[in-house]
Amino acid sequence: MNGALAIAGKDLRESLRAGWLLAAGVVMILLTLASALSAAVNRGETSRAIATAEAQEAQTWLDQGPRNPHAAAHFSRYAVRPLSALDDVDPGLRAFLGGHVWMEAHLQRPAEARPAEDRVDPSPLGALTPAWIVQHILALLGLLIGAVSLAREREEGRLVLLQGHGAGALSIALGKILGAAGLTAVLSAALLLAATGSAWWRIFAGAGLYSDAGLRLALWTSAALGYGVVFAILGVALSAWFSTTRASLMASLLFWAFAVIIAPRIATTAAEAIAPAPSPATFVTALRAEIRAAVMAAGDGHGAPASATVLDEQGRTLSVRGLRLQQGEEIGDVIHDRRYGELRAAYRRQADVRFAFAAVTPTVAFSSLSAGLTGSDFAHHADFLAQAEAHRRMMIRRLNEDDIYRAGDRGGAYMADRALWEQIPGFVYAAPTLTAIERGYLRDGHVLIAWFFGGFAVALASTIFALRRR
Amino acid sequence: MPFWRLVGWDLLILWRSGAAAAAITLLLAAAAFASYNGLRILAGHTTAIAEAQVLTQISPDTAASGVQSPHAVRLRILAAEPPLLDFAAGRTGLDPIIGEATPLTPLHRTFENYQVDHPLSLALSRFDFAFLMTVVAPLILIALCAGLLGEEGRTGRLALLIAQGAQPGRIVLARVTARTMLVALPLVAALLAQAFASGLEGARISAFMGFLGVAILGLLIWAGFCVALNSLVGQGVASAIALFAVWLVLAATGPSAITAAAQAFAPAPPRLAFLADARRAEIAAVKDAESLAQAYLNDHPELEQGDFDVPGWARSRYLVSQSVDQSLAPFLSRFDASLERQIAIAASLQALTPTLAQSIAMTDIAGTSARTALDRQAEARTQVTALRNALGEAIMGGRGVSAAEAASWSVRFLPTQSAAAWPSLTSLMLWLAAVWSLALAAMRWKGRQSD
Repeated sequence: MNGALAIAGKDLRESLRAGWLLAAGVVMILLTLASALSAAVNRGETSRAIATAEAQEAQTWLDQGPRNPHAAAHFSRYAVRPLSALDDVDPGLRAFLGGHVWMEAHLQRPAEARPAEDRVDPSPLGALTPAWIVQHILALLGLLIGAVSLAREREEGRLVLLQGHGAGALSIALGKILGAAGLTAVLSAALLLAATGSAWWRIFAGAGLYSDAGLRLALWTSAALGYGVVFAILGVALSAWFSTTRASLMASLLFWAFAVIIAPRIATTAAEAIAPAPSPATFVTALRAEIRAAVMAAGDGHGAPASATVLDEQGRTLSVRGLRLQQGEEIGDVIHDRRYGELRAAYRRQADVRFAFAAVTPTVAFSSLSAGLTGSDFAHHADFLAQAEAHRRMMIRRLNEDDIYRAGDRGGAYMADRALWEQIPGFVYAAPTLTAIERGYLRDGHVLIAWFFGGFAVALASTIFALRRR
Repeated sequence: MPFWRLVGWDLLILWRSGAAAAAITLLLAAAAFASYNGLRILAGHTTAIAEAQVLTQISPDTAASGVQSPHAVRLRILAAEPPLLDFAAGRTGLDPIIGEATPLTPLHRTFENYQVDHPLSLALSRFDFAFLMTVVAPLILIALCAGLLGEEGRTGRLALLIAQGAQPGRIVLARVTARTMLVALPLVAALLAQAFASGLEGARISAFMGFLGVAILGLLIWAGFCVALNSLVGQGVASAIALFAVWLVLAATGPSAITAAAQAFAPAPPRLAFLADARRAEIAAVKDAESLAQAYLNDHPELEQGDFDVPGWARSRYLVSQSVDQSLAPFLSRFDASLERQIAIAASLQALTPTLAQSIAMTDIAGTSARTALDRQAEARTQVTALRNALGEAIMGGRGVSAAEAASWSVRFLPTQSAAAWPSLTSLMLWLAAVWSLALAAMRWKGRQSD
């Protein structure tokens, strides 16, 4: 083991002295820092604008004046998902997810205003973010560090020298792996500090959205570090298979291009093809048509005679219009649950198909885990949508109940006032903890760990085999 | 030895070594996948529009009903198929393609409930020909061209070749030419096959020619890099690393950094701020409905009252929507201005990386870029405003519309055309000239060194 540590230490010192690696590391860290700070500044400004808009929105709701509760249910309110400092680290899918939901009567609407709609994105590989740098550049650097470690020494004849001095194959193999992994870890540590610095600052200042934000960021940092090290180990494995540095480098570069750039896209497209989801137009049209048909069959509240009333068991006069409107909502709720459930099931199947590709590239598991830990994946969005929908149902029921109990025979002519609007609470998003998210992230974590140990075993076996073959 | 014979020899060597077969297989597999994905996206668009068109058909009852209330007229707004949707998906899936307008709904509610797609698909499923030509093909070319003279240099055969009168620069050029042909020919064949498979007519012909030109320009630029760096950096490993580093900067990090910069320097205001203003304007207009009606009558003294019974609530809603639109017009234009500025920033910085210029050119030509999305939005607003203006007087004046008139408003197609790609093409031409000047200079330098 001492021999292995000595070899790893020598590799580490030599590599740190290499100009190209230092230059690449510095450029990467500066890029990450610029990207993280720019994201933090933009998020801060957007958050302030959203907070102002939310306050204005709440005031407009209160100031809407006397109105029929059903008109107010159509006007309704917005459920807003706040931004998180963790988004600066990995915005994940946030650009493609709407940030607020219009909680209107009758229809569960998809979240509106995806930021990507107001952004230009001409880059074939997406916009630069700290997570992008980890996913793409750190992986590449790790792979290159691993790829040259064995091949270069073999080409320069230093491996023979090492073996001649009595170093065993196992010691050399372990030393090479430890050296590459250690160097990548050193570089990763600096890079990850740049990537997460501003997020840590926000968390320590108590401004984190998630109660477990510290844990999330710590796990993200560990996963990113592990991801970089996995590529370094894979680089050593590839290095053992090729006799020249050039061949080893080219194989590593091609593997990187496949694993990081091409395979995740193939995985997503394959998922869409194997487990197709309905188009937005088809989904919404079918949903509305089914709700409309079911509500019409049961008796639509909109068409109920204004003066129609019934008495309840306590002798109170109830508005038939209000009762039917609430009945329509409850019919709609069942249909919404089923239709959206089917849609989410299709998404889950897609996620499963995509996850199968984690067997050929660690990037699929890391990107999924990274977005999950920072709360920027679809599972967190689905949690927000579920909370918004629960709030919508509560709000519409309260408005309909006011209609039922207070409209009497006035029907649509009944006007509620500010007293009712004040009774309807605004939506407050309860950010979930990691354990509360149904999807769970253990699966992604397990795959990354499997890549680590699998890569380590392959690298060790390949290196020992290559050394003994000599 | 004549130049083309050198190229032929190299192709033969590549074929015998199996590298040519591997590269062609890889390229054709990638092209088949891009083709499948392109056709799938195209089919998705066509199906969605066809389904929406079915909904626009006027039912026989409505057609036979004669005169109807103007507030009930529904206008479907459908986006026509972009010329090369199956080649460059661009913003497909992000921007709405189906909308519905009535005289009573505010402008910003024309497109609703379209945000259902799986976000992961929007973010990552664009493995199309544009991606293949801008990212994958250069990588394969670089892999084939890495360290072209490295082996000869290492074994000493290069000195032997020079002694026999061979020019190293010419050898590099011939080898790069052979490898570029190896990459370009299967891809051009795949592009042609795709074009013919999904139909090549009308605007699609010129768009395809433009796309093909941009694709070839991109490959020629990367071929130039291969010549230059193989001539300048003699060692196999060093030239491989140098080529890949150039790809990493120009094709991966550069475009992503420029995109992030464009987004950061001209961010759009949050949509919630816009909606909050819209709702405040709506409440203000609802409260002020009577004076809005009076103002309308004052502004339209020529308005004659008809005998059709348009409901009072419809008149109010019409006026409220008009008022909301008027008060939000400046806000709405801020979103357009922000996207315009982002496009301008990306366009002005595209000269820094040929991949970005290529990508912008391809989506512009395909009709799937942010530029074409803005044009489409502007056209949609024009159509909705025309509907409002045409039916507003009928609503306020109590005039019914005939079934034929209502049917004439049933559907409008938003033309989705190629946007002018000249700035990107100019950038690409400049890159081509610069890279090949460098390549030729490097070849001469290599020649002088070997002398």
